[in-house]
Amino acid sequence: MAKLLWRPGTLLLSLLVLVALLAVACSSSDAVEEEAEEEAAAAAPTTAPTAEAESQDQTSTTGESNTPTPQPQIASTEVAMTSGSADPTATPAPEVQSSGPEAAQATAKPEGKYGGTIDMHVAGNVAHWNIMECGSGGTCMSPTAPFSNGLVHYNGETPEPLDIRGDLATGWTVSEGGTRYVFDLPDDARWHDGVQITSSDVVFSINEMLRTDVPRPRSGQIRPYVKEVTALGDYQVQVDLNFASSAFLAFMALDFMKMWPQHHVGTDPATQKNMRLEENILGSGPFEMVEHDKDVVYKWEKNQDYFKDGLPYFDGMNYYIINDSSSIVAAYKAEQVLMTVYLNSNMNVREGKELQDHREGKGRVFFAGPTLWHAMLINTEAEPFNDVRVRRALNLILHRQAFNEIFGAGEYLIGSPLPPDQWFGRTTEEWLERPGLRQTAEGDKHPDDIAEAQRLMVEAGYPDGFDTTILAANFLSFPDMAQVAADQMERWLGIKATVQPEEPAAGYVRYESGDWKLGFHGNGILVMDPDQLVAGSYLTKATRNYSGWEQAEIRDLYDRQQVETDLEKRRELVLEIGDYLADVDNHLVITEWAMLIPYVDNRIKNYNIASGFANHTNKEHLWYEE
Amino acid sequence: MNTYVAKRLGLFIPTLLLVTIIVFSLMRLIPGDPAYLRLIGTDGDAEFTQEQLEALQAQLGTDKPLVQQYVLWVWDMLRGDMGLSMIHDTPIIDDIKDRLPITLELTVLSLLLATVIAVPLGVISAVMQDSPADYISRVVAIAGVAMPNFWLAILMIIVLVNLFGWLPPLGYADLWENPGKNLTQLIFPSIALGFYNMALIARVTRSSMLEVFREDYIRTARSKGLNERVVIIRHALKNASLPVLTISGWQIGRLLAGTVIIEKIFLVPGVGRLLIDSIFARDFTMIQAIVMMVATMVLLLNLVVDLMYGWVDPRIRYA
Repeated sequence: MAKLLWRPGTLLLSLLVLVALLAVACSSSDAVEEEAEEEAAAAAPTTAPTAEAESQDQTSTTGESNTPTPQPQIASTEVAMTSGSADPTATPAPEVQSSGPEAAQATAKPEGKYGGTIDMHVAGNVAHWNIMECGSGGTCMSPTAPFSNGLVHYNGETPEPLDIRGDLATGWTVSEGGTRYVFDLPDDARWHDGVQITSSDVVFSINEMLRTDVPRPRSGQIRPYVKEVTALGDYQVQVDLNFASSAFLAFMALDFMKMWPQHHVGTDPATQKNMRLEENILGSGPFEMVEHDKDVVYKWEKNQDYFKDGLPYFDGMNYYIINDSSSIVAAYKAEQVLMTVYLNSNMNVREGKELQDHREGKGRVFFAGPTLWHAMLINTEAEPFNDVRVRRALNLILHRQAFNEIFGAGEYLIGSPLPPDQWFGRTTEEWLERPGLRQTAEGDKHPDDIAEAQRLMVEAGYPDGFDTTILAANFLSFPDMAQVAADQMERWLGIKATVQPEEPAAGYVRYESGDWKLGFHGNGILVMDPDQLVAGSYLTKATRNYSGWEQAEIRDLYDRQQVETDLEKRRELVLEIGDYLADVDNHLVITEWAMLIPYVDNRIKNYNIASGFANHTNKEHLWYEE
Repeated sequence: MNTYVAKRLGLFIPTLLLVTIIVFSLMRLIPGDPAYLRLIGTDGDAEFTQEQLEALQAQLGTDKPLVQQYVLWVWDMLRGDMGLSMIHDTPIIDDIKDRLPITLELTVLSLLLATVIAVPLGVISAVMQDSPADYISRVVAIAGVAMPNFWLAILMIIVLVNLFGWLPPLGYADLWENPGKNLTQLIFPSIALGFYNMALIARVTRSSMLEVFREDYIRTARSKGLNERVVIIRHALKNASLPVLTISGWQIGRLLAGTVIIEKIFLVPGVGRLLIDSIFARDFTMIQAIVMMVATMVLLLNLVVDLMYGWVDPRIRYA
């Protein structure tokens, strides 16, 4: 046996090699940590100098803001939002109304701390850098935001969801019955290449948003409102609207509506720079990108020549790109990243709750929304769904509360046709009393709704149900949701639905070609305004309205509310829309209004949850403090 | 030998051609026009006109007949031009140049770790057959074969975070610029990726050693009074290593494929992660190029292994 002593020795040797490798790994990690600590120490936050401009009163902005749309509510477990504002201010109709000082640009706060390079998380690699062509938050909006400015933007320093202030603009006036906006620009703002920003850049940028010959998936949403944009000298821009609209500023303030340097991009569409390419990015924002390692990280450094004095606070930011949700939760737990770059972290509700428990007292997980709906789509052109009685039966039969429990751990909002608890709609309590949305005290589907749905099916000639299919794009949990819907339809109506999971690309093709019966999908909401909600979900060209369903009643109500300047009257019109969709006919069965779930470490200060995924993303107002 | 090499090379070219046809056809079989998908955006709700669609189809070349598209693609590939990413508008070759070394490093490190652990484990298991050491070794080996590497990877992350509050640092440090950090980042993914290979090599080593132990020349060596260590290392292990080497070479292809999921979980910016992100983004040209590149590498590796096998063991020849 003695001769065999070398064998354990060999094993030991190989284990030693492994241990050595691990030891090197660990020792180098210490070095990394030490290095990071040294860097952190060197960049230790210092107290901000006294702000040159007067600091803003965070709580006073809403009532006096000239933002005409009142505040919608967003649900959040961490931030108490303002109430559903039963006294909405009217859409402005004065001859001339100036933006108050609270709507002016951000200024440095006395309590703000400077310094630090903050590691953050973003769930998506950049697809391209052309903000005008940008359609999504993760793949183009969030990486362009730090180096860009809009004309106006949502005020990230208050919890008020629709508090809009100047970004590039220093103020504005509204006149001509709310159809003319004149924006003032600073005379000391420069692009990152040193060239002065003037009104011609703003005119050029807004006209770029209005172009119809190139894709403008989000920025083009101001088209219905804007009639003409004109430069008034070098530092004033006049925007004339087609009609007085409470939604114009709400759209303009989105982080999809950024300014472009005219001298850099070029005015001739034929010879313009390809702004999709990284080599062509140029902005004026609080940060400049110094490194982009695809799929890994974007690194930003403070713009030392930023035109907003004293801002930003961070020396830099690293946006680490992490898509896989388990890796995301792990990275937050290990404090590798301190916050989500924008609302979407890719975490689901359960992961959010797990992280919340783990980071208790150290960070905040927000359940922010409603930001998107999940719904069963109905092809109203295909039999038997071209029968309104069948559509109505489907609307009555799906048990929304069950969807919420399964997919939202009870955190989502009731799947009403319009989001609950907004200034323009009904409350959750009101919706919960409506047929289709109510349930028994025991939490079961309401028997009256089942009976009415069965009666409608008999009347439509389908007493025993029928066979059908549910197309479900293979992302988020749509195939699972479709399966739950199939189960409920079979249980109560005898409808046998086969779920057809498809890759999203293939799914969109089938939706567009009409090769589907029922579907399961979702849709994000950019601006919590009836204009977007109704046009984006219930008119012919709505995003998920693949069968082109439209009712004259809805169109009429929509058109009337769009130009209604009395907000109470507008609310009444929107309530009528909601009631029609809930009680008469609909091409969607919304099962829940879902949340996005961002995380923010407690050391990040001056953070307020955004009301939409395209707000508060340039980070100029945040600072780090132990 | 020359005939064998010529025949083996002769098989390589049509195989590669077949791979190009399969890769190209698979991409075209997936429903959805790439131009349409790019315009409609990742959320599927972007606006565009028919004119914009046709212009982009012309720009991407998808308006041409399939045969013409295929010939152009193969011709471009032969010239080393992989084209532009359909999503990013950037040259695909640049991405692959950046990513391939990372994936190769991960693969080599995995194989190295697997071999360093597996060979002694297999030898001990064979030499101490049916002893507790053999049982432990076999349990480890069976567990390695049975456990999917993505599961092991997730388990490792959970353990690291929940027990130590630590994870490999984010980002990527170049091996030559910061070897310590680089190793910190790659050691755990390498273990997760190589665990299966370790198990497989250990099992092959064990069975191969047991087979060799029964050979006459081992008995002869022992009867000459040679030291047992010399018998095992110089005579048994050397002869038993041929199938181990074959397995190791062959496993490189499998390791390359395994990087897809491991790189995703451990945030390693290699070709595997590029592939999976391209799949999610529907970047067809990128997917096509990566699959083609990996397939070519695997074919080349197989070719090299086959040629080496023929060189090492002269009995192996095509009939």
